[in-house]
Amino acid sequence: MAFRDAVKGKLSELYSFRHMYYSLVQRSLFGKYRNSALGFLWNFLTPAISILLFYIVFENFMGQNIDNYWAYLCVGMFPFQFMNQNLIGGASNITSNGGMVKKIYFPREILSLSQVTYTFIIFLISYGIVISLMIATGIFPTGGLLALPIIILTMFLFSLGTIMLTSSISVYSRDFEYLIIAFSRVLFWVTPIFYLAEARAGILYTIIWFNPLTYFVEGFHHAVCWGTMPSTGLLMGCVLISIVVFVIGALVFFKLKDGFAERI
Amino acid sequence: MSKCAVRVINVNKSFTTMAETDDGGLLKRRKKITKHILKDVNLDIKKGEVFGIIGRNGSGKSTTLNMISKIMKPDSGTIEINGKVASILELGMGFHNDLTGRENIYIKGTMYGLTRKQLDARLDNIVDYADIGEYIDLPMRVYSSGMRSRVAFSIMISVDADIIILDEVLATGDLAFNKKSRTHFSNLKLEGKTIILVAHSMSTMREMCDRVAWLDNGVIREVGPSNVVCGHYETELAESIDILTELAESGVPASQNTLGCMYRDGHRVEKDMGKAKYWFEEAAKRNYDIAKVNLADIIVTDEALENIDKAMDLYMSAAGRGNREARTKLSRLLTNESRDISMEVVNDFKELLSSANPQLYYEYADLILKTAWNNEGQREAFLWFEKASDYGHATAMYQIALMYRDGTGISQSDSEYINWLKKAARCGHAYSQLMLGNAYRDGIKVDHDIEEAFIWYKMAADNNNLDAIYQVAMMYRKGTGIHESREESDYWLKLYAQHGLNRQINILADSYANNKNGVFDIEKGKKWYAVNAEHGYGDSKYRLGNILNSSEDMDERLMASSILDEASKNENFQSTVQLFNLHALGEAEKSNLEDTISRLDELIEKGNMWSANTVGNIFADAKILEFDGTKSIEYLEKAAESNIVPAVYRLGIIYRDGILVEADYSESLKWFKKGALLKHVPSAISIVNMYLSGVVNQAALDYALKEIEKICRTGNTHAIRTLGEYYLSGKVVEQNFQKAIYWYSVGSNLGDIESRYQLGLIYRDGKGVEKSFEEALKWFSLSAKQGDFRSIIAIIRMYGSNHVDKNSFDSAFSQLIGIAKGGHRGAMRDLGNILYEGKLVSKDLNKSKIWFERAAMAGCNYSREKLESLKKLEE
Repeated sequence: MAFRDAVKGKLSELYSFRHMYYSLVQRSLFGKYRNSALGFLWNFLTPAISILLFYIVFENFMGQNIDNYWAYLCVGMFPFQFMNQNLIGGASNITSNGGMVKKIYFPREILSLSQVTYTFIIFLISYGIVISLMIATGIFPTGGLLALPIIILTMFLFSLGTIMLTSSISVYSRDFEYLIIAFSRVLFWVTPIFYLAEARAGILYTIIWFNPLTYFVEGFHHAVCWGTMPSTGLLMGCVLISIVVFVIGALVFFKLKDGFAERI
Repeated sequence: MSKCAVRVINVNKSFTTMAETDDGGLLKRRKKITKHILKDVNLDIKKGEVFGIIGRNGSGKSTTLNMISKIMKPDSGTIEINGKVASILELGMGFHNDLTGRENIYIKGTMYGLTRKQLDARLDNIVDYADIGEYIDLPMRVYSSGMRSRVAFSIMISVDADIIILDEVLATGDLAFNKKSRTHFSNLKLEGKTIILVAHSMSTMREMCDRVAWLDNGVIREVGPSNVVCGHYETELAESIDILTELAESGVPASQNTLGCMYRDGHRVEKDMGKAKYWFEEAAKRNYDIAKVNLADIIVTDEALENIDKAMDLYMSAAGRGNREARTKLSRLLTNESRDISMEVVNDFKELLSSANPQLYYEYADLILKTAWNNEGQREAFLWFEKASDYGHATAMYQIALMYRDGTGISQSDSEYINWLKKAARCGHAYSQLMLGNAYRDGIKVDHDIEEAFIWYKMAADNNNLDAIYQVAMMYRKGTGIHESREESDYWLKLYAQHGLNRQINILADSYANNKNGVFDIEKGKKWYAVNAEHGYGDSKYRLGNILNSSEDMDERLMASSILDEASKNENFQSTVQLFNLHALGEAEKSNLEDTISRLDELIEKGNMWSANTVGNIFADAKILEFDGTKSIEYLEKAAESNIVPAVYRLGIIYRDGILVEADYSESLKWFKKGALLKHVPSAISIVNMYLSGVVNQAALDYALKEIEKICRTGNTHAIRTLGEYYLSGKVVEQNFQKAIYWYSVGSNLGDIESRYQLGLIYRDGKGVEKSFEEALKWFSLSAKQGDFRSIIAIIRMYGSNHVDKNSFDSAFSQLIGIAKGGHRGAMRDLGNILYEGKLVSKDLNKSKIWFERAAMAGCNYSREKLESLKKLEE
C-alpha cells in the first residue's frame, strides 16, 4: 500500500510540474541552435551527414548484400542515435543543469523526462522523413507494421531507464562520465547499423546480441525495412530489456537523487 | 496559538569532499574531508511572520535554507513544512542565453510552479516590474548582469506561495529597484505570507524581520526579536578580536580605535597599555578624532608632565575639527583648572540622584562625560543617560545614540545608533529627526530610502529645525521623496527666510504671554503673536486666538473667534477645534458653525483623518454640539478606516457599552480586533475582558491572545506584562508559570518595571519555580533602581524576615527615603512606620513623626491616626 501511495504521490508531483516539462522540451528544441544560421535543422543534419559518409564508404563493401542500402542505414541509424543520445549524451543531463538543481526545487526526473522527450521528438521527425522517402521511392513494406508501436514504446522506456541510470551515477563519479564516453565508440560498432546481424559469426555474433540496442534496431529492420514481423523471441527481448533497464534505472535514480545538489 | 509554517527539528548536515594532498609524488593522494555544517539545529517559524537568519559566512545559513527548500536532505532530523514553498536562492539561474527575455520568463516561470495560463496573465506585470524596456525581446546574451537579476527577480514577484525564502537576493538592482523589492516583500507580510530571510545588511534585517535566529558555526546561538538579536550579533562582531585585529591591521581607523579601547580597559583581552597606545596612535595618524582624544587622555593621566604638550596637540587637533570633548579637556588643561572642583561638583551632584528625576540623571551623565578623564566615567555616563531615557528623556536618547556611533562608553554599533536616534526622534528631538533624514537620504548606516528621509525631515521641520525646513522646501521643489508642489515649496522657503526672526519673536511672545523668563505683559504678548500671525504662522494665530479668548473684553473675544476662523481656514487643525469650543460657549457667531464643520469636513477630504476622529468625539461627548450618535459613529468610522487607533478603540467601546447606539457585541468585537491588529494593546485586552464576561466566544479570545503575543514579539512591554499576568493568574488561560516567567523575563530584558517586580514576586513566593530569595532580590533591585515603590518595600520586608543582606537593605532604604522626599505618600507613611518600630533601623520617634506629618498632609489617613495615637502616648 505504501508503495502504491508513493507512486501515486510521485506521479501527481510530476503532473504538477508538467509546465516545467513542456518548457524544458521547448527550450531544447528551439534554444539549442538558436544562434546558428541553420538552427533547428542541425538536429537532423548531424546524423544525415553520418549516414551519407557511411553510405559512400560502405556502399562499395556492403551494398551488394543489402538491397537499398541507404534505407537500411537510415532505419538503423536514427533509433541508434536516439538511444545513444540517452545513454551516452544523457550522462551529463543532471550535471550540465547544475545551476537549476542546486538552486531550485523540482522533481529531478523532469530533467530525464524532458531530455528523452526532446530526443524522441527528433527521432519521430527524422523517422517520418525517412519513411516518407521510402514510400516515395516505393520500397516501403507493410508486413511488420504491427510490431512498430511496440518497438517504439519499449525503446522509449529503455532510453528513459538508461538516462536515469547514467545521469545519476555521473553526478557521483566524474570518472563514470568519461568512461561512458569512451564506451560509446564501441557501441556504434557492435550495433548492426551498417552491416547485417546474421552475417557476423562466432564471438562477434554473441557480442552483438549481448548489446541491448541490437534488439531494438533489429526490430526496426524487420518492421520497416524487410516487412516481416519480428520473432517472438526478439519482441520478448525488447519488452524484457526495456522493463528491466527502466526499473534498475529508476531505482538507482531515486536512491541517488537526494545527494545531487551537494555534489554538482 | 498560530500554527507553525516551518519546523526544523534536530537537523544535522555534513558535507564530504575530496581534497588533494600534494605529497610531491606522481599520484596525488586524495583525502576525504568532512565538514559538519549544521549541528542539532532547531527552529520554529510561525505562520505569517518574517523570520530572519543571521550569521557569518559559512555558518550554515544557505544550507538551512536549501533544506527547507527541499533541495537538500538533512543527515538526521526532520523538517516539517505547512504550505507551499517558493525559494529565491539565486538570481540568474536557468536562463538560456540564446532565447529572448520574454521566452526565458516563460521557462523560468514554469520552474517555479507557474502554469502557462498564469504566466500569460502576469507577463505584462513581470515585464513592467523588471523595467528593462525593449530589451525584453532581445536574446539574454546581451543583457547586463543587473538586467538579468531584475528579470529573475520580477519572476519571483509573481510566484504564488505561502512560504517565501529569500537568500541574500534583496540587494539586487539599483537603489530604486531595491526599494521596490523591499516594499513588495513587506506588503506580502500583510497578506499573511511567511517569509524566511537571509540578508547581510543589518538594517534590512532589523526593519523587515519580526524574529531573527543567530546561526554561529552551525549552532543556533540565539532566537528572539530582531532588534535584540541583531544588537547582540553586532556587538559580538564589533568586539570580535579576530575581526577587529584584521581590520585594524589593514588600516581601518574606527577598528583601530575600538581595539585600542579594548586593550586599555582589559575588555576581552588582557590589559595592555602599550598596545592600546599603539592602536590609538595608528588611528590618530589617520585623523580619527576620537582616537586622538583617547590617546591624549592616556598621556595626561598616565605619563609624566613632559608629554603634556603632545597631549595638548592632540586635543587641539581634534578640537579644531569640532570634537566637544576635546574642547572641554583642552580648555581645562590650558587654564590649569583644578580637577578637584569638578570632583566636588560630581560628588555633590550624586546626592541629587536619589530622586527619580530624569532631568537630573541627564545632567549628571553630561557632567561626568565632561569631567571624565578615562573610560570608566564614559561608561557611567552611559548608564545614567540610559536611566534618563527610561523616563522618556529625548536628549538622553540622542546622547546614547551618539555614544553608540562613536563607541564611547559602549561598544560601537551602527544599528543601535540608528535605533536610539529613532527613539529620540519619536520623542520629539528635532536634531535627531534631522539626522535621520540625512541618514536615509544618503543611505549611510541605513538603506537608502528617499521617502523615509522626507518623513523624518518633515518631522524636524515641523519642529522648527532650520536645516530640515530647507530640505523639505527643496524636496517639494524637485519632487524627490514627495510629490512635487510649488506651493508647499514656497511655503517652506518663506518659513526658512523668515525663521531667523520669527523664532525670536515667538520666544518673545511666549515669554510675555506665559509669564516666562521673568516678564509678564499680556499686551506685549498679544502684539508679538499678532506680528507672527500676520506672516501666516497658523500656530501663532492659534495662540493669539486663545489669549484673546480668555480676555475680559467682549470685543477681544469676538476678535478671537475671527482670528481662529482665519487660522482654521488655513487648515490649522487646532484652531478649528478651538472654534468648536467657542461655539459651545456661545461666544462665536452661530452662523459660522456650519462653516467650521464644513472646514473640518474639508480637512477630512484632504485626508486629515485625525479631524474625523475629533469630530466623532465631539459628537459623542455632546459638550460642544448636540449629541448625535449616528454622526459620531460616521466620523469615527471614517477615522477608523484610516487606521487611527483612538477612533477604532472608541468605536469598540461605543458598541460594547451601548452608549450611542444599541449594544452590538459582534460589531464591538470587530473594532477591537482591528485595534489589536494595529498593535493597540488595550483593544486586545478589551476582547479578553469581553470573553471573561461571556459576551464573545473562545475563537475571539484565541484571536486576541494571538495578537497580544504578536505584539509582545515586537517588544511592547504593555503586551508582555499583560500576557505574563494572564499566565500567572490563570483566569484567562491555563495557569502556566513557566510561560509567565518567560514573558516577564522578556519584559525585564526590555527594562519593564512591572515585569521585574512580578519576577521578584514569583521567585520570592516560589510560584512554579524553586523559592529563591537571591533571584527575587536580583529582580526587585532592578525595579527598585527604576523607582518602583513596591519593589523597594518588598526588599525591605525581605530584610525584615532575614532573607536579604544588609547592603541590599541599605540601598533599598535610601531609595525609599529618596522617593519619600519626592513626595510619595505611601513612601512617607512606610518610612514613618519603619522609624517608629525600630526593628530594621534604630528607632527614631522624632523623625518618624516628621514623616507621618508629611504623609498626613498629603492625605494619608493612616498617618493621621498614627500621629494622634503618638501624641496620646506622649501625654
